[in-house]
Amino acid sequence: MIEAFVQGLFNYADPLAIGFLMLGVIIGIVIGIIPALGGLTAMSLLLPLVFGMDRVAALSMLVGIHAISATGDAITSILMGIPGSGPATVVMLDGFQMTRKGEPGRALGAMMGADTVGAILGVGLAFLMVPIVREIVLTFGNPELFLLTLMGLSFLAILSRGSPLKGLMAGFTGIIIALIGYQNSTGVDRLAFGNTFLLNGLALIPVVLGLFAGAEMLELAINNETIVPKGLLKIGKELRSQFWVGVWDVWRHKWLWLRSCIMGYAMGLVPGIGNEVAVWITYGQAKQTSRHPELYGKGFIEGVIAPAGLNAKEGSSLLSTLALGLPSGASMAIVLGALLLQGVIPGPSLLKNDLPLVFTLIWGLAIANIIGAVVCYFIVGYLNLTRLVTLPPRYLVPPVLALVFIGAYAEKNRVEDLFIALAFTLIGLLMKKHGYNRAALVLGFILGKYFENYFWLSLQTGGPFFFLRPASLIIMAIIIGLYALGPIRSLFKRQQTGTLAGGTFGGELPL
Amino acid sequence: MRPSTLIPLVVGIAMAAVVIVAIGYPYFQAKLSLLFAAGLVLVLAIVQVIKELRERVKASTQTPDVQEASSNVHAKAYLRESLWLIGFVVAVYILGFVIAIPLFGIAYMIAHGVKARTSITISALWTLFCWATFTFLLDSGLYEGLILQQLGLE
Repeated sequence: MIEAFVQGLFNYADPLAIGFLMLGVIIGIVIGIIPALGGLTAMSLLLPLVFGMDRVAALSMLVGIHAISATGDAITSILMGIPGSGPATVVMLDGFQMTRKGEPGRALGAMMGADTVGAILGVGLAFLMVPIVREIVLTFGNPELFLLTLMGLSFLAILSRGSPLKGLMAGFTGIIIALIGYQNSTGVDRLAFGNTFLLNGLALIPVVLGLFAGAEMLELAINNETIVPKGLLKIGKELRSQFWVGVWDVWRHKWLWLRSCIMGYAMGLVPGIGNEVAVWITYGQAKQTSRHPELYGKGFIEGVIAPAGLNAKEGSSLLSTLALGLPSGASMAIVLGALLLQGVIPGPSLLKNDLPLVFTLIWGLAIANIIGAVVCYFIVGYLNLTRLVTLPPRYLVPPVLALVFIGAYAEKNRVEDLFIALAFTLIGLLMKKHGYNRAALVLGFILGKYFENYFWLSLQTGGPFFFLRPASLIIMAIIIGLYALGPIRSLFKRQQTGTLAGGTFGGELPL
Repeated sequence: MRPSTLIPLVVGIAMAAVVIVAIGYPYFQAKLSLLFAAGLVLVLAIVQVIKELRERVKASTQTPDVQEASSNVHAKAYLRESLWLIGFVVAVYILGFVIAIPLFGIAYMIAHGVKARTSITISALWTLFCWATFTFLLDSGLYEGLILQQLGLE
């Protein structure tokens, strides 16, 4: 196996393989920066080209696009507050606030640093997981998926801290919005009233773009202010040094980063957990276990590092796709299609007969992330992309709004999505003005349907005690542990303070 | 009534409607999640309305006129910018992206004090970028608008 692992890396000594990987990275960054397009569009456009190409080069190009498009997406989320996908929304929560505080370089450095090292860790973990991946994947069924979405939804309580009434209202309203349309299991039209557009349910991108990007732009226009006041923004050398401070922040928060990566990696192995779900779980656990949960969402560096677990997830998603032929998402389904076009049959036999190819693609993810980080560093640090954030709203609002609405339309090419994005822009503006948590609404919206589907499937297949399975019990223990950690920590702190006070002041209680 | 009170009130009424509609669904499986979520939001909204009304009663004795005047000015700005946005979306719906983007860009920038030449240049370049990216590079095509569709010119 070690031989295959090393050979996988050395396959990139071939100029053709590394050249196509770099091409994929550049396409991924460019496409990722444009909202709603993302790697999926680029991969599906390039899929026909794969036929007839060298298999390592072709698959590397697709892996390169997939690996890096999320980074491109995160750049616009951090700099302009325009999330082009569900996961980018989470990065934006703290990343955009850091930009507004004049620290875009630090946020970008932390994001890219955490992502790149996360991808490299993913390769290492893949090496360890190859012999046991099949067993791990098969232990996850509907009950475990249900419990994982429950875990994600339970973070509504964490997100709502400070204003629980408004937060929970927003979160549960998000769940109701997610339930609009046909119910898969019964075929009942719920809250769609026969409207063919609503019967398919609302798409994520128009909702997210409206709630965040549209509302932020409109607010800038209303207050006539720039994203970052001119004096606050660092450019050139200062911006680049800010970038390295961000990278250093990843090291300072290495345990948080490691925890996020391991969680992300574990979730990537399980088909059925989308990036949208996984990223909220990593963010939620980071906030729950943080010493400063009150700073999350206000431009806190931990909030940018925590979603990095998603990059480690890509390694395991790719591994489970290759090892079992079970794609964990749409992008992986395209990789699967490309493998079949190349005459490679994914599944357990691939691990036996063509292990170097498996490691080549997993190495490709890591190398693509390293190349992507370097390219993004030059784009941000030398092309002065960050100057855009000092433009007055009269110049910024029309192009950004155009992009927001093109993004809303482009996801499914439905004109009705324009009106959905418009409605959510106005809703987002009202929510922001009156202190309702928009992230809670998005969390409810993303997880609501998964939660309901997995609940009924678990109940039908396992009966009322469907959660009495080893893997389910472990997940339940993790959920309970996460919520017990806070009270235990504060109890421990109180005891420590009491002991200190007792030692210093001879047993007197502090006033 | 202040918007801070009006929002939970509207949400509460909407949730009451959801509960009524959901009760009528044929399967228990179809109504359970909706009834649970909407019922919970309804209760939370009622509590929020009561909380807002109490705060209003408390604050009514000490609200200065100056604050009210400034909030009126702010409300006008909200309305104005929201109308620009609604106008843009309606323009896209009727005329399509390729016409609506430059039209909106030029009108918005000129109305906000940008020189005509600058606003035309920025809008034209941006439209060109969007059109080239989506039509040529991505082959996905931008929405052409109701008029062109009706005329069969798309």
